[in-house]
Order: sequence, then C-alpha cells, then structure tokens
Amino acid sequence: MSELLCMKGITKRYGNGVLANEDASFSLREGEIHAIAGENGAGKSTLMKILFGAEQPTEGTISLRGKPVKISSPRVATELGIGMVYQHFMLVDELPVYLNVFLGVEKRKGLLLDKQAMIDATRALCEKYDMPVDPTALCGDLPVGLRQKVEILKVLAREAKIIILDEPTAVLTPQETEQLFHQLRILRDNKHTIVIITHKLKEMKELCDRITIMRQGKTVGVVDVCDVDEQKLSELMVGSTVRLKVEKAPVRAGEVVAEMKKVTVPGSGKPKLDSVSFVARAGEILCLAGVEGNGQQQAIECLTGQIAYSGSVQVLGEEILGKSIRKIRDLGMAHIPEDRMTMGTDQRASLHENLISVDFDRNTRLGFLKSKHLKARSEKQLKDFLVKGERQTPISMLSGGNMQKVVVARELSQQPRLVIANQPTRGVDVGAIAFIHEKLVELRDQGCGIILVSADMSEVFSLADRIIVFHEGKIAAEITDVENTTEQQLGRYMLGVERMEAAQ
Amino acid sequence: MLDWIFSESFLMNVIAYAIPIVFAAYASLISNKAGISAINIEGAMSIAAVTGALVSHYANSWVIGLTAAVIAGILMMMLLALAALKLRADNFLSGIALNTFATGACLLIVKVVLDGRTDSSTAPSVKVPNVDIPLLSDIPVIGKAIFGQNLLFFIALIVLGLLILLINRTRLGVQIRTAGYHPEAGESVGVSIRRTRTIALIICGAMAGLGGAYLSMANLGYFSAGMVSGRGFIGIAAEAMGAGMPVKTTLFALLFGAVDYFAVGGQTVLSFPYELLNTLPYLMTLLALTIYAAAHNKKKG
Repeated sequence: MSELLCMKGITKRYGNGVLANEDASFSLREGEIHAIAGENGAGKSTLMKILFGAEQPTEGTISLRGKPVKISSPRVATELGIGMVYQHFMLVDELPVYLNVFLGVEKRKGLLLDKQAMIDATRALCEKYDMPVDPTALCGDLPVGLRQKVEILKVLAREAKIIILDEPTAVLTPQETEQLFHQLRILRDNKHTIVIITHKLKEMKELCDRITIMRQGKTVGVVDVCDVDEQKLSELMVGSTVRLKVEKAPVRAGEVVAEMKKVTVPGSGKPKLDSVSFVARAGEILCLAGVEGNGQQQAIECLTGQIAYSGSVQVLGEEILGKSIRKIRDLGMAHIPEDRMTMGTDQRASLHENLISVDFDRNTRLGFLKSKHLKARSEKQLKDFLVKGERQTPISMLSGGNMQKVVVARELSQQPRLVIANQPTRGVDVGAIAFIHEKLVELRDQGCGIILVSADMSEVFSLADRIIVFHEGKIAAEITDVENTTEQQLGRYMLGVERMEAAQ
Repeated sequence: MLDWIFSESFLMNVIAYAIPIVFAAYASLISNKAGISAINIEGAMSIAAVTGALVSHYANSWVIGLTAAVIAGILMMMLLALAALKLRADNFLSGIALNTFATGACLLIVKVVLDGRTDSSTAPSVKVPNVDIPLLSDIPVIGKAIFGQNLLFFIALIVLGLLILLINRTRLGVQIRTAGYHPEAGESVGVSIRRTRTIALIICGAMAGLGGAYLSMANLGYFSAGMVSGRGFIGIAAEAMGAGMPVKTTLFALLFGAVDYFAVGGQTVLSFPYELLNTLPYLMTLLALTIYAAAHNKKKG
C-alpha cells in the first residue's frame, strides 16, 4: 500500500505557551483504518485539527500523495478531500437530513434548490454505505447514532477520501458501535482512508489496521494491530512517568467527608455513572482516575451540585439533592473547577473581584462592602499564593499558571473541610504545579478531605493516598497501596483491560 | 357598531392600517431567521418615512421617493450590521441606540430642510398610487378592500410570496436559517455567518423602508414626527406571535392592524371615551412586547 499522507515534525505551541504537539509525525496509507491513541492531552485531537486545517502548526510539514500542502482552513482541507466528523455534531436540528448533508454545497436548479436531486443523492449514499437514514427526516428528530451518520454523509457528500472521526463511539451504544464499524469497513473497501481518534483498546483491536500512539504531544510509536496485544498497547500509551517528589506525612484518614451511594447519572444510550458508591475521608487525598468520559467528571458534578442524579450523595454529612451550590459550599466544600476560563474565574473582572466573588456579600456593614478589609485580605492572598499580578489587574492578563493560583487562593482560603480539585494543574507551569501540590498536601495534613481528578499520571502518583479508577461509568478498581502500584497497572484499569473484582 | 365593522370601509381601513405593520413584521422575520434581532425596525421606518416624503416631493416622483426610502431603511440596518456584527456590540443595545438616534435624526432633517417645522405638510409627498383592478374591485364588501388598495399592498403580497420562496427554496434561505439555528454548523462548512446576517439585514432594511414609506407616502401625504408610533415594535411582536412563519405572521400583523384602526375609527362610531380608545394601540404595543419577550425567553431557555 502506498503512503497517502505524511505529517512530519509537527509542533503546535499556543499563545499562552502550552505545547500541544512537539515534533509529532503521522502517516496514512491509502485504504486503511488508522487509530490515533493516547491519554487525554496527549495531543491527538490537536494533531487531527491541524490535519483538518482547524489549527495551524507552529512548525512542521504536511504532504499529500507526495506533494507538500498547506492546509490553511477546513475549506482547504475539504478541497483536498479531507473530512472531519467532530465529537460534538455540527448539525442544524431544524433542517432535514438532506439539507444538512449538502449544507454549504447545496445542489441547485437555476435560482432554486434542487430538493429532489439532494434527496436522491443522499439516498444513494445511504444505500452505498448501508446507513439507514431517511433523507427527509428532521435532524433534530434523529437519535444520536443516526445523527452521527448524517455527519459522515456530510463528509461523503463533499467527496472526502480521508475521513477523520473524533472519538466516534463515545456517544454510541454497543449496537450502534457495531453498526458504525460495519459502515467504516464498507468505506474502507470503497478506497476511503479512515482515521479514528480513540482510547478504547478493544475498538483498535477490532477495527483498525494500524495504530499511532501519542504521549505528551509526541508520537511514540506506530504499530500494526496484528503485532501487538492489549497489554503491550496500554504500556505504550501510558509509558513510564516520573514520580514528582512531594513531601507528605503518612496518611491519617479521619471521618467521612463525602459519600456517594449507588449514584446513577443517565446518558444517551448507556448511563454516564452507573450505580457508583465510594467514600472520601478527612486527612486523605482521594484520586478519581480514568480516561476522560468514563464518569469521573459526572461524579464531581454530582458532588458539587451541578447535575441531577439518582441515588444518594452526602457532603460533610448532609444529603445534597436539591441544595443550591451555595448551600453545599456553605457546608465547607471548596471547588477548583476544571475550566478556569469559564467556571473558575470571571475573565472580565479583576484579581480582587475574582478573589472576593464567593463571599463578598458576607463582608458588609449596613449593606456596604467592607472594602478595606476585603482589599487587605486579597492583597494577603495574592502574596501568600505567590500570584504575579496586582489586585486591580484584570485576570485575563494573567498566564494560565497565575490564573489558576488565583482560583486556588480563593478556594483554599475558605477554610474548607472538603476540597474538590478537578485537574488543578492542567496547563500550568512547573513552578505553579509544585506550589499547588504543596498547598493541597498542607490542607490534607491539617485534616481536610481532598478529592482530586487528574489526567496526569505523575500527579496522581505523587499526590494520591488512595485511587479510585473509573471505567465506563463504573468503578473498575480501588487502589489503596499507591506506593507499590505501577503506572502500567493503573493504565490497565483505566483502559478496561483489567478490573478489580471487589471494586464495585 | 356591527354595521360599522361589517362595512366595506372597515375592511378597507383595517388592511390600510395593517400594511406598515406587515412590512415591519417581514423585516423582523427575515432578520430573526438569520439569528439577529433588528429591534431598530421602528427607527429605520421613521428614517425611511422622512426620506421618502421629502425626496418624493423634491424629485416630484413617487418612484424616486420610494426607492430613496428603501435605501434609507437599508442604510439604517447597515448601521446595525456595523455595530452588532462587525464591531460585536450588543445586539439589543445597538438597536435601542439606533432607535433613539432615528427619532432625533428625523426631526433634525425636517427642521433643517423645512425651516424649523416638525412635519412636512407644507412640502407634501408625491403619493404612491392606488391600484384599482377592474371588475374584481366591484365585488361587494371585499372588492374595494382588496382589489382597490394602494400599490404597496400588492407589493406586500408579492413580498410574502418571495419571502416564502427565499426561505424554503433557495440556498440563501438555507444559509439564513442555518445562521439563525446553529451558526457554528454553518461556519464549520464554510458558510460565513456574518455575510449571511448582513444580507438578511439588507432585506430587513428594505422591508422597513417600504413600511416607513407607506406611512408618509400613501397613508398620509406628508411626514410627521412620531408617525411610526410603535408600529415597528408591533410588527416585531406580530412576527414573534407568528412564530417566524410568513403566512401566520401576516395574519397576526392584520389583527394588530385591525386593533389599530379600531382605536381610530371607533371614536366616531362608539359611545366610548376616546381617550381610552386612544390607549388601545399603546396597550397593544405593551402586550405585544411582553409576548415578544416571553417568546424570546422561551426560545432561549
């Protein structure tokens, strides 16, 4: 088989200094199904966005059929025959299937749309690739599985030869997944080349011809599926990570600070959380590990009162169902959210305003803010947490690391009894990581309970006293002896190769 | 009173009163379809009204006057496009500002052109003619009302047909609907949302222009400050109640036209305090805006 596409030396550095890809390479052979695998943040999606023209590489070259190409926009990619099916569908619910399929490339007869030609063309595509979609149905009325088919039809209508699918099975039921694989194989037999971004080992084994494995923005290997077993794959994906040294005293777990009992969160198809139970204790750092989309996010959203669930969630001894987020926080919970840009901070406000946002209304006299007191407090917090920025600086001027320190300063200054830290050091510089880690350990040693969600293996191993691994909405393992567990072992639980019998 | 309601002149007048509301509703319809709220339809109508009146008078031609009014309406909407689409200012605040601007600008224009007057009655417009379709206009009761109307009524009918065709059967229509329903989906396949919305606002401005011109060049023979008096808003509300569907929107605009005429015409026929009747259009505007807000919130959340 000839080489169809080759990406070489791709580096992507974002404006804020985050390095998403570093000297990554990728190649495709005509007519193969190729998986790109790796942990969260390994740079898979960025690399594919570069291929589709949605992102521009800082360095590196792309050649297609031996000729160098510059893919400056998705439109150029489309012209080159490259199509992408996003994880979040780009469909207009209010329009029928055939108009979505031909959106932007509508067929016309004179000034008017040629409705029949589009319906016929859509139907022909459906038959050719065995996709049971009614071209005249409204997109909004279709179930998720069929909506995905419409996305694929859209790409096919633009005559794409290379089709990239971003985690296509994340939203599908097992039956729908089977069907999708069947259709992807038909596509391959019709000389299409398919790339799927995934971290599900089973799917790679079942569907793909080759796998490119990425870790920390780099390509660490390309393997033929028939040459490797799941064990080997998971090792390649996880790699061996450096355990950062964090000084911490032996754990002295105290009373229960949070408890989930048979908590279920429904999803489209299978539940996002499936009857999950666990406890978190004071004086302990409990890490919820797992590949993104396996339920740990929903667990955090339940604990912080953001989504509805069935079952029982207790925070600091109280059932939180129906309680406002404010009420839950008042029990003594602090929350460092995953996304500091939208949830953690108000980008339009100053550092001071962000710092006082959680309790300014409690620091008033006769209805007026005690501004002197609050200002002094903010100054102190900025100093204590080593934030590089003035009280009046708009927070949007800060680097990611400093912004995160503001969030951490605000949350940890509330004398919490339970801290929920969701990816507290993602996209943060090394210095700030160490600092945030120290602060979390300090609180733990003072008897605060900490629940940590992290996709960063080294963070998990350096901080956790206990690890709960999520896989497909269930607890796959509970690791109490973190010290003597290897990354490979954790990786196998995360990827569903193994599960602990007693876990659930 | 029933005699009055079922008379030939009642239906005739209801339609006459509804025409500007119909145009305003179409203006709102096309901009909302594209996902941008043209709350300044009111202001655009008023600028178009003054432009149409004065240009038709000085050019001594209703065709030139009407064209000028349409261009004025489009220009007002291009100001909205500039503020809300290009400079990304808040959609509603830009619209409100443009309405306020229009109120002042209209007065200023008449005062400057006509030496300090607040209306253009001394410089009467060349009116858009009425059309009398032979035979059909002789049908009792509805004949005169429908087939003996002002030319702009027939233009409105044609516009209605064109709108339906545009929205449902053309590429631009699909792009406009995409811009309104799911702009990201459009962008992802290379449909420029800003360009699409700008085109929708051009059509919107033309509609507002026709509505404004009707007031000063057909209904009344001159421009008078405040003559739009909420009809732009009522049009917006009619569109909201018609849920963006052209025919339904037209029917609601007719209903609002009926109430509007009822308030004016009822004064001579009904033994009812005319002060109260006079409040009807305003009460209706209030009601209409409330309905609009409710519909808008429902759509959002």
